[in-house]
Amino acid sequence: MTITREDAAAALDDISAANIHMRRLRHYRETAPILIMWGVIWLVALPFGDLGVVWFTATAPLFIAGIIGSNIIGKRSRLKAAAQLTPEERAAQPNMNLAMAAVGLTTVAIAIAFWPLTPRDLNALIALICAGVYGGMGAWLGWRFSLVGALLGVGTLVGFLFVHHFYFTWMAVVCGGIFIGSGLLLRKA
Amino acid sequence: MDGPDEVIHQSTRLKMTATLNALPAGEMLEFGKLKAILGATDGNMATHLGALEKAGYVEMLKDYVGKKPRTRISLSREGRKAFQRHVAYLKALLD
Repeated sequence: MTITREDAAAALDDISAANIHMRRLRHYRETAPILIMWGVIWLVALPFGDLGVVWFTATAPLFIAGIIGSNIIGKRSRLKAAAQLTPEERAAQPNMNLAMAAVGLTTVAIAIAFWPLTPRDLNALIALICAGVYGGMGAWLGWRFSLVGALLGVGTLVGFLFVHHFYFTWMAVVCGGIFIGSGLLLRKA
Repeated sequence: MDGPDEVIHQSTRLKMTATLNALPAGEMLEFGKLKAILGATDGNMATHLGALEKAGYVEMLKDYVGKKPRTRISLSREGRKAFQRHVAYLKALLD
């Protein structure tokens, strides 16, 4: 059997494409529990926002638990994924902690710049930042994340602009539902 | 330098082994998912999986989920080694 340099290059391209595809599917599957968890948190906690500021503040521990849970799941996934990578690929991996810190600080900076914000404004800001993060993740890790971001962004804007009395319940059901539905679909990727 | 692995180098089998090699050790891929990833037909899948199984490169586990039959596939330890040798050969050709 003779393999030319062109055959070898084409075969290595096929192998690389298979690796990228499998990595994308793995990202979808590993992000799915995070999406489902946030969907449940939004579904349970956000309707309290329609009852008043005090009730909304009382749900803060759930959101803090969500941030901690996301970090734990994300870290476990990244460690598992790192075992599959070559040292060069590992070195080229983005620093997710730095990326998340940048997103968090940007959100805080925007909130400070536009303060005072109502709980509704603050919630919409965080939801739109989340939508942007998922939209951006799509460019890196697979287009389905961009679809999640787009749905979340549209759901948030519709709620913010047109649903005045039950905004938080809208966000819980529609955007929480988008998270849960996307998570369930991506889990099967 | 080892020569090329004739079982692996065929285009569909190369994509098959590359896809299975990307799974973490101990994980298996369902037949239907592998078929969808490769865009292959049932007949093609059976032929090429048969060749890889005959060479000892893949392991197939058949069971039932409820009443539905399920076939899961993984690269054997020998299959992973053979794939890595073949990739090393291809890279050496380009160096």
